[in-house]
Amino acid sequence: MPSIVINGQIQIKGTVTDINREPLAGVNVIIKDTQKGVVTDTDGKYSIMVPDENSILVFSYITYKTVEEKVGKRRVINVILEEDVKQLEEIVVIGYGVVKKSDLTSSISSVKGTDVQSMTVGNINQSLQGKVPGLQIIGSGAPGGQPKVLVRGFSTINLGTDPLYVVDGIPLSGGINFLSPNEIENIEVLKDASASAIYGSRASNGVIMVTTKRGKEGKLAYNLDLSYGLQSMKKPYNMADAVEYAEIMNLAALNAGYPKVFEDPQEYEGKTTDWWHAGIKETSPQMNLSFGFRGGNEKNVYSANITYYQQKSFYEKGGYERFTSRFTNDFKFSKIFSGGITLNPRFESWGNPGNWADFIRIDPITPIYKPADQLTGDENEYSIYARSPSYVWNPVAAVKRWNQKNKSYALSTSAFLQIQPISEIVFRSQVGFELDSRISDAFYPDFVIDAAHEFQTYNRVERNQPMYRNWSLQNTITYLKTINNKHNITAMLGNTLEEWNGTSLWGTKEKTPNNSEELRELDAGTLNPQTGGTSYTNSVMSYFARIMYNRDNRYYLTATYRVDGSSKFLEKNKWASFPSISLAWRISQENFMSGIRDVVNDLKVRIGAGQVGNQNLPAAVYMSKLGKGYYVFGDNIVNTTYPSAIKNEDIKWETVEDKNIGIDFNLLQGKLSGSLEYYVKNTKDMLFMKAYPNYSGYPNDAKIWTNIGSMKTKGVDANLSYSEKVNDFYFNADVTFTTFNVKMSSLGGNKEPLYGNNEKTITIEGEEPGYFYGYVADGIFQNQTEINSHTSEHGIFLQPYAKVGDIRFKDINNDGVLDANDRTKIGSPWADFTMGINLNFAYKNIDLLANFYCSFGNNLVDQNKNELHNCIDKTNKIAGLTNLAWHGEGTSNDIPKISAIDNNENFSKFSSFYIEDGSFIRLKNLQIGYTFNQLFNISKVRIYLAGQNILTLTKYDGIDPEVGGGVLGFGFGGWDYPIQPTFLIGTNITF
Amino acid sequence: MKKYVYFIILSLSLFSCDDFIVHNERGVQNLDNYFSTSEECQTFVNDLYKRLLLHYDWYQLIAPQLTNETATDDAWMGNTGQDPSQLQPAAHYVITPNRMGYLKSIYATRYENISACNIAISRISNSKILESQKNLNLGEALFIRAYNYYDLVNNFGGVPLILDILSSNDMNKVRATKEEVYKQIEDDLILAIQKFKLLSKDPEKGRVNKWACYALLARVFLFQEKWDKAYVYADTVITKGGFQLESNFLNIWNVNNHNGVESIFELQTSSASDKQLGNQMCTFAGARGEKKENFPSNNSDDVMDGWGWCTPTSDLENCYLSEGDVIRRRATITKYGEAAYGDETLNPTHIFDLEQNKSGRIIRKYYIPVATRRILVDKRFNAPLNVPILRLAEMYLIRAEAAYHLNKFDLAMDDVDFIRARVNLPPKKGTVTGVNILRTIWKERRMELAFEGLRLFDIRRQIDPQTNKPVIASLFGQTGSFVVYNTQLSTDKYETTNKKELQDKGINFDIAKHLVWPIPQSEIDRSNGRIIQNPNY
Repeated sequence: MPSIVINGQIQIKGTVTDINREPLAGVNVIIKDTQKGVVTDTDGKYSIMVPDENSILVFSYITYKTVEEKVGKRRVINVILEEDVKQLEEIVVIGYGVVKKSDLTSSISSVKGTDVQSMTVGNINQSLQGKVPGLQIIGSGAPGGQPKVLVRGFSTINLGTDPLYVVDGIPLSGGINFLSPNEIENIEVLKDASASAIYGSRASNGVIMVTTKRGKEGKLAYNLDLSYGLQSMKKPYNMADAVEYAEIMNLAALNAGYPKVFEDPQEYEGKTTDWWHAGIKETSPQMNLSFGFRGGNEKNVYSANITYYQQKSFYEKGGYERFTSRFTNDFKFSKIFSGGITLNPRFESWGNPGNWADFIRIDPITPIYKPADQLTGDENEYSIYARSPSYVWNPVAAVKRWNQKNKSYALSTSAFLQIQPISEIVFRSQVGFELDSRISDAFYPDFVIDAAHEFQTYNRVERNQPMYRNWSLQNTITYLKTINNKHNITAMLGNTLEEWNGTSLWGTKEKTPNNSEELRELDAGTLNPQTGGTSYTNSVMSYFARIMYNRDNRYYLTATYRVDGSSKFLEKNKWASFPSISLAWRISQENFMSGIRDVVNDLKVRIGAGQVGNQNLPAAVYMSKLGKGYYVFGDNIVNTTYPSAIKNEDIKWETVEDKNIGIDFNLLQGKLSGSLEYYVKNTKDMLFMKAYPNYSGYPNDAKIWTNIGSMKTKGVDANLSYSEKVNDFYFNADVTFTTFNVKMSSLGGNKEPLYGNNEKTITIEGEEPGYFYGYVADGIFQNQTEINSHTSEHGIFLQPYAKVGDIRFKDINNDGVLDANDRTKIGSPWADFTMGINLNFAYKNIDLLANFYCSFGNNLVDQNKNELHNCIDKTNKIAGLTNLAWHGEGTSNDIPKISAIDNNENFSKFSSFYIEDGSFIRLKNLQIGYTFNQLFNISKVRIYLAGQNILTLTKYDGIDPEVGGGVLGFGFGGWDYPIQPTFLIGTNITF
Repeated sequence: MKKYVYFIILSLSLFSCDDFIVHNERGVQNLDNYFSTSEECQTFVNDLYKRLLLHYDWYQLIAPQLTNETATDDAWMGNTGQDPSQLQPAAHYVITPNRMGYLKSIYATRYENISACNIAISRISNSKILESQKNLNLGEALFIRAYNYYDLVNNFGGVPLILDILSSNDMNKVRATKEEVYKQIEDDLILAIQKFKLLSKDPEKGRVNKWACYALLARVFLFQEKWDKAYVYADTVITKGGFQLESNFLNIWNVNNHNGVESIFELQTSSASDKQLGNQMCTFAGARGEKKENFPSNNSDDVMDGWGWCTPTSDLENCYLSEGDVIRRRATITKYGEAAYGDETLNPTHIFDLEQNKSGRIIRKYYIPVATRRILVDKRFNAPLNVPILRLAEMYLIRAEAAYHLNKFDLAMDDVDFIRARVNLPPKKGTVTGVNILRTIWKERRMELAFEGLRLFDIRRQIDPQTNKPVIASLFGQTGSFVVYNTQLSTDKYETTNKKELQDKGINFDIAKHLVWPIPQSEIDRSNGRIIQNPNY
């Protein structure tokens, strides 16, 4: 085909797309070393005249990597532009504003929406795991479960450690379960106080800022994402069958001096009740459907997104369901006025039985249903189940009875108005309002499985309708000025009002005429009507200011100051102020660096310090409260009141002081980039629900909110990213690394230690908080001689009730008595480091993604070790226990002899017997995708297969090594809802 | 343009009203502005009664009180069908500060009530209510505080004496001695008597009055071996209190005889279904495995399945048999297959699950008659059986024991015989002499007051005249008579065949430590060691 040559020129045409084959509009196409160029249209098409075949076309587009193409013989040049994640002009959202990433002076990590959308999850945090240095996430497997999020460890020991979530500039009061990953444009994690101090009292656990997708100028673009998956639920323990159970129980009785429990265990051969498969589904489906579009022009941009997510529970009943929609509309009214509005209506429904562990714990001999000869024929459908002697309620019956539904109908709206009277001044006012109306219904049918223990005399119907109304108003005025092209100044002044309101109303009645579906309403109840309700308001009022200055884009200074007043404190402690300052030096901009600027593209050192606060405690702890009840004198029923909470009038803000030093670098044209930071956090006046001696008579086990002592956390977090592109092959590796080291620098008052989890953890001044505190299990007494030699110097037995096969505990202080003073540190719940490894490969149309997450150096308490091995109760035991447990000299030095009494306290003493290595590596996500271009006229169709949580390597014997908990009760694993491997198939369609 | 700037500055400064950040908790009363009316004072004091035994809640005080019975020769843990590990540490004397089972909750629960008493005493003293009500309420609070300390000192020995409202800066207390605690109990009760004496009329039925104070004083004097005072106070109640023995022993625990003629003070119950004011001891110690087929009615409304803990020993039964005491035996113990005493028509053969009952016996005192079962909305939460705390018969036995030590042997035996006469037993005066009089009084106490929360404290305090050691040491340990009886002599067909609770109960008793229970380890920890553990634990 002859090429068209006009005036010695060649016409080149083509389309510019991104790696997803989406057309890019507005890409600059310039002939190298000239000023000549064109811009692509909304379909990404361009047409340009070049002088000759030696011409080079330069394709550049903001936030994309620039591509140069030599014309040569080609007349059609289609170009794929790749997003430059590390591009220096990247914009980062900070509190009440945005800055160029290169101008950041504080510690902020960004994650793109596309990175969290690679997993199908209920909560975004599950897919954030391992992608942000300094962010530790402990997963939750339950449908609708909220993972625990720690930003650079924790700074408080009793309050929630969850960070503040700010969605599109509006600070929220709770988690972000309601957000669908598909709605997210990007996420910023504000890690140090110099970044977060602008959120003052709300920011002590760090801030996670979520920016949702908003409209974009250009052609209307649609996307459709579908995924369907199966979660797999494997029985976590192999339990004894009926014969072995009977043998274990008999042996336990024999060793305790009791008679046999089962005359002939062999008669149960083949009679094992398979509880697990009677109530737990091996696979349960999960799906996500998302549809969105966005577009607009220079006056108005808009977007809409609708997502449906469903996760079924592994029971016959229950699960989590979410329908969210988000509509945004942004307007530019005139040069001076602009504004926008967001509507986010949504629906959530959740609830499932919680008794999965009972399917493992219940004995294997009890049948599911009562034998025919025990039935009278009068029983209702809930009473035909058998009673287990193990204390465990029949789990199949419990699921059958289960009838609960929680629903949330919520609407979040926010709107902003921006006025820019002169170019230097921007005034912005933003209002957010959130309404969440919830209904929880429950019905408990009447049944009799065992008349003494497992029964409900009358059925009961219950409805609970809380409603939450939160609003916030923020006003800021910003002044921007550049003087002499050298001094760049941004100053901001603002204030906010935030209020959280809740009202509740609940009612319950008993004895509806029968258990039929239609009568499960309060109106049908005939007995014991009860009702209640209350309302609350918490509020915070704040003023803040910030100044940002930089000279020549080399030397940077940011200073903020915020003052907060909270309703949670009395007048004298209501107000607190939170200052911060940070500095940065962009070394790469210095002249002496100019020689190596091709290698060191960017190098920056940052240093910052600041203060943030924490007031996230229940309302009115400064007030002593009364509970109420009834009593009777003769026949005269009277009202009663009693102290239900004792006040602490001195309660005040918890303050976190934070220092941070960091270095950011970008080498080899963005191939290698990363950051390294060191931080020290010092928490003062920590808010803690302290357990006082019980002689205080304080209610609630003598626990009262108190400001106690200080804690110091320090650590390193680092991020290293490498990408390489060779022809059609693309590779990217991203490693995040986090450590934190924490200790109690001071304990207030008389420096009494703090205890957690029933005195199983202790916190002492100068040491790490919440470490495991108990006895040291020193193997098993193999013979009587060993018991006889475990004595004081006066020959007194250290363990008077010990028999062979019992655990030997260490007399740590060597005082010849084994008592509470022999407890010591037996483990630490805190990881030495956590690490995330994220790998991406792409070859032509195939892409492959793998995310790993690991945690090293922490211990866990395997609390299930008790129930699985301790034979004083009649729950089922682990298979093979007769061999695992000590049964003769040399047979075991870990698991004590099977016995129905535990006078030696093998199990009831909290000891190193329960401590295990909690380190693990988990393959969070493995995904392989294939992209079709222009399939059926659709611009892009990608299909993928994914496996989430499919591989975990750990030495921990419990259910799942991802164990959370409060700071002084962290790392106690038990019957945690396991994180289930999930296999998915999905597609992303763009048109 | 300037007007915009002014507008912005104006709107920024718009809100600065401090009221925006003042919100108190709604829907609950504030203790700080409480105690301003008579009703408020009375309502607060009403709850002190409720928390004296928390009998509507099986866990906090009932379970410990019944566990204490199992630590005596009167009761087994009893339920051999289920895990007994909450009772076993005390019942079989393998208790440690770390493993106290049900006993752990006494300490904190008692102090919660003491703290509420301290609040009542301090705040009501300063409130501007009628003097008459002030006296009533203070008297009530002082008595209840004294009762709590009585229970603590007998369970644990000397404990911290907390008499004021404590602030969080006051947590530097140490244990008072046993004598100091008793002194405080006496002071509180004597002050309470003074308050009650100022009243123009007796408080309503079910409330504490001065006789309850006298009666508790008599008990604590006896426990302290202050014989003359014990004598005087018991005597005052007997001669001036206007109480009389129930002619039918069984009427002391009768769902239809609340606050009867013998009752000095008892905890109140109601069957009102929406208030949960029933006595859960009836369930905790009730017969386990009743079946409707075993009632003549064959009606499931007659079944009140209990949990079957704390079953009577054959040793206790033998005690009654040795005296030919049919009435008290049957009013205290129902043996498998026997008619429920007093409920012979509706429950002529009380049958329960023998497989799950160590001794084939259950406590009759906490039995709910079938007719009542039929009308209860909820048998566990609504059982209307009051709990006697102080009753006249005990006063006679206190006077008798005190009289013995004051060498008034005849008077002592007169009181014993008076108590025996009520249950149709012949007088013993003249048939016993010397220390045997004391043993007779003790035996009478055991038979009369079984399962009323006194046996453990009695065998700890009673000094065996033969050994000069507490009686408990003669019963328990390797050579204890109770242990020897069960392991070598007993031929009881139930106890010797159901070995799912060991026959050697009490063999681990160690006099070096077991005369008091350990203080919970959590209290030692929380006080940073200021609270010192009892010896040898």
